Amino acid sequence: MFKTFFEGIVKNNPVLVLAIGLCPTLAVSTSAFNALGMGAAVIFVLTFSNLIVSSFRKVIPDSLRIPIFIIVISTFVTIVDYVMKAYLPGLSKNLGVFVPLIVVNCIILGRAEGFAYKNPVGKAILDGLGSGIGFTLAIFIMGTIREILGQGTWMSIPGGFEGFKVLGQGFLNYPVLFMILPPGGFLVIAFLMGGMRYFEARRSA
Amino acid sequence: MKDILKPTFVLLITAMVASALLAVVYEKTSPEIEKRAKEKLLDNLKTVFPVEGAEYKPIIKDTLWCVEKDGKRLGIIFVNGMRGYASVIKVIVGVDTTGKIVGVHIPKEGLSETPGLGMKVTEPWFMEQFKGKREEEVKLKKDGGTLDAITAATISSRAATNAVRSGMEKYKKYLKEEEKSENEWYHKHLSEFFPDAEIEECGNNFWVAVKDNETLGSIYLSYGEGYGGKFGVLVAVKDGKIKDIYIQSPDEGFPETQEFGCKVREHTYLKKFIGISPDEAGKIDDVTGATITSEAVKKAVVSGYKRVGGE
Repeated sequence: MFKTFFEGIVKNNPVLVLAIGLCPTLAVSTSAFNALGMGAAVIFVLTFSNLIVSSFRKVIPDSLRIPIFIIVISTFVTIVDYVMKAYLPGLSKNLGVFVPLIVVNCIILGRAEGFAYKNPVGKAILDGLGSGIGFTLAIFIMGTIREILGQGTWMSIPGGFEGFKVLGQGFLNYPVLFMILPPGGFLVIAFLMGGMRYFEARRSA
Repeated sequence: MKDILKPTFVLLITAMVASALLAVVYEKTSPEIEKRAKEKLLDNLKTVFPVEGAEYKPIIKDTLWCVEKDGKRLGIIFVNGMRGYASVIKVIVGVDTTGKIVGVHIPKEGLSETPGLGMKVTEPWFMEQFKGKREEEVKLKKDGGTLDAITAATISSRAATNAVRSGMEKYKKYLKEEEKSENEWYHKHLSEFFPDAEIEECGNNFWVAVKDNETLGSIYLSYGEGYGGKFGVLVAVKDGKIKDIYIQSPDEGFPETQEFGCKVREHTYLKKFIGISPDEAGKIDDVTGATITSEAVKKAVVSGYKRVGGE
């Protein structure tokens, strides 16, 4: 049973292995806190959409499954969007358009279509949680690396906590800006994907 | 048949449940979202013009406020935007009545300048340097002014600076008390209503046109609260009927939108007022697309007439 859960985190990690959902990953992973916020939103939407899709899989007509998936997903995304705007306005401003864009995130539609529609509720929830956490871990690691190198802080919260000054004052004054810009995102994700493949290859060898 | 009905039914149910759910969530969160926005705005106003116990009264919606304390005007706050490197840089500026900047705030939210370069316009040192500056001083040093630009982000620095300066230029007329700034515009129109007559002032915003010891008519000034703010309406009355009507022009501070609100100033609309009693102005049709402004004009005509006690 728990194989389903861990598969989403390591072996079938949506970002680092399956390479899906890369757009929000690259765009939002400029700081660790943003990444966590995005991750939490995705975990929520993924788990609940899997739950609903799997519970109703027997009554959803085959021809209508995609529109219904989209309705379900976009409902949860809108809920997340409203709640974030109301109670976490800073985070909501930072994530901007990438929260509404979760609707078209292929991780979520992919899991609904590829897993939840064919599996019982319990498994579907575990799969949602697993893939969600896998996504969050990947984006959080990226956010951490990019924020520390590109800004000199870690876990800084907009309009709140200043962040841990991991690398000292000199680094705060002259950070490696490049890491926060889009090319930095590609560079980090390339190293992470490479690393993942390397360990995978060594383990199976 | 079943192939058509069943999917339709399923889709209908799904959509209904989803919208009901969203309605509930919206109901719960929207007051909170609005409250946040208001708090944020007040916070920003307080940052750029910090005065204990001051009131921030909106003059133009979401753009211009005046700061008053005990009925005395201390200054204004305006919001102005200018295209930066990658987004519009929005500045919130407080200016006191002597024309000096009290504070500048550039909100991070919604700004997408390059992180670490253009984004530095939101850093305190950059915003601090505007303090106490006058309009002509608000320029970058390399443009002959007094302000330091951000290294490697000249476009963003210049945009922020220009936004502050052009806003000061645009809104400086509001620095004076309202009475003074409005005094000029209507005087020259008074004589246009009754060209040959003497215009005598008879109290508050009320004039009588006299020729050869005979009263030709009267003029009153009344204010309407439109979509964008307050504007003045001059009404000339003769024998209990409206002889002519004039609405403040945009040059004179008419605050409504050019494409809609300004239509109430067109002759085709204003001629509907002529010849009727000011009491009956409320019956006139509204201009399509400018209901709020039209209503404001009519209300001003009626209420002004009541105030001056008829003829």
